[in-house]
Amino acid sequence: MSHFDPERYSRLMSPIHLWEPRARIISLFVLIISLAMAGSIRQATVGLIISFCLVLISRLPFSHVSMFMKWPAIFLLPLAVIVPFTAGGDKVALPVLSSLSIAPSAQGVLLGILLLTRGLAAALVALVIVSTAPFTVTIRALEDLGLPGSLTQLFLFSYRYVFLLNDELQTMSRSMRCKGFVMMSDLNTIRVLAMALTMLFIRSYERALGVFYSMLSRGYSGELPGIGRCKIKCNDFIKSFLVLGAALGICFL
Amino acid sequence: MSIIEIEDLVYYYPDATLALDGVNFQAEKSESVALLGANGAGKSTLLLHINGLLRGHSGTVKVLGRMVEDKNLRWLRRRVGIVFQDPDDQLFMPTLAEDVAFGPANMCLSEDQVNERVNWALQSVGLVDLKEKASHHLSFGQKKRAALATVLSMKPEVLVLDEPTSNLDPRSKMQMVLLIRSLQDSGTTIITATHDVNLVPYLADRTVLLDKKVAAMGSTRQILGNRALMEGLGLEMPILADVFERLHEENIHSPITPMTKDEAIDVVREILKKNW
Ligand SMILES: Nc1ncnc2c1ncn2[C@@H]1O[C@H](COP(=O)(O)OP(=O)(O)OP(=O)(O)O)[C@@H](O)[C@H]1O
Ligand SMILES: [Mg+2]
Repeated sequence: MSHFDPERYSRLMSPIHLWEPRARIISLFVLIISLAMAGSIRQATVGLIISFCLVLISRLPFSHVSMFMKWPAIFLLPLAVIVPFTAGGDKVALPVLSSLSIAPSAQGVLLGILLLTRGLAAALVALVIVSTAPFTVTIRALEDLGLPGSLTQLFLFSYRYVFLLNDELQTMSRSMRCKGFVMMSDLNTIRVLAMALTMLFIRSYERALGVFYSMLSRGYSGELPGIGRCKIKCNDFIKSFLVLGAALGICFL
Repeated sequence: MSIIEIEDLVYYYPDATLALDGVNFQAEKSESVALLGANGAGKSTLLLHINGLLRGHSGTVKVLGRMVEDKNLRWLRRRVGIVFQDPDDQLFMPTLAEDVAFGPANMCLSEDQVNERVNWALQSVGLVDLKEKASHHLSFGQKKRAALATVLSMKPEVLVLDEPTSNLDPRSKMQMVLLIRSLQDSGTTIITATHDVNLVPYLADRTVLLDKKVAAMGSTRQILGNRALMEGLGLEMPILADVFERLHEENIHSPITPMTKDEAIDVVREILKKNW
């Protein structure tokens, strides 16, 4: 049984979760664009506040948010630290750094803060998009919005395949440990791991073949049936209207 | 007309393993047939031929009056439902409900009809409560039942089950038997490969013993009660039949070799009556 479950919070009952997927994706996507275009720190800060509010409304637990946000933060922080030193402008002499003859520029510092704020804001909104519906619902919504069907299926099945590989990997590593395998830094370990990896791919391939057989048995002929699509209702429009208003607000701030 | 007619079917796997060596087999409408055989006897391989997922190197397979060949495959696959031995092969959609809806949706039914079938199929296997759960997070026994539901929802005329009761708890096993019998009553032809000899008398009227080819075929009572035949193929008699056969050898005679609990109780009563 796999404990790897990125969709754990995708079925909460928050207003964001209940928002019709297509309306939600388009609205939040527009918000991301307006965040990405934010040119001043003031705009970016307001954007970050709005994103925070969205996260709060979506009731995603803090642990989940921080686990996801760690990645954009790891990527953005160094950027925010380096930019002040590389951007042109009025240099600010800092006592500690002057001995190294490097100095950050005032504009660079502001630019760094801007990049960090709007990056984090956009990432938060992206998190809200991917965490508030099961992956497949999001993908289906994208299909409705014009993503080609073959691409949708590719995403859906790769997604399933990730779980499958993960399950097979866990079973295999468990059984290897039961048979006394210990990871060491010797040639034998490498040999065993290489063989295990090969087997993992063969097994996954055969599994995929089994799945394909079963799809054929159930009348698959190249298209996935779409079920349970819902209609956009009045309060979906209101939610979209609010978010689009916020996006516009950020642009004209 | 037989619903399934297989003649001289020979099949080799790509690594040259001879899995089927001239199988001859028929099944009639609304019949429940059990397929027994040791591990590696070719049961799963044979079943995969019934809807054309595997194609023999020689011999013919005819189902519902049509040859299993390319031009009939789509027609056939709507009418023959097959539940694989390994349920993980059968569950590939994100939620259980979507998995069960996959087949009917491919049959171009309306959304209401699809939902109705999904509910019915999940009800039949007792999994309605788990409808929205991710199929790959079910327990193994639940996955087995889920896999059956994905096929039931297509309401196939021929239902092919590969070890449907393995890993099921006792109550689910009995429910499976009842389900098989009720489907049979509504006209479905059912072929079940199984190792569960004690359950066979409950679920099938006719039994086929397979060992790359058909070693014996007949009424369930006749086949399962034949110790030499069963043990010759590495199989065991059902425990009740075994016990009463041994008593028979010790000159404690019973009118029939009982296969089910009810029969055994009747036989015991009769023996007691005679001896007191
Ligand atoms: N994909 C494969 N490639 C090569 N040989 C295979 C493959 N699948 C099965 N076989 C071989 O074919 C023979 C019949 O296998 P099959 O799975 O049909 O047996 P079975 O009667 O279903 O056994 P079990 O009771 O264990 O499920 C076995 O000898 C097996 O090793
Ligand atoms: Mg088998």
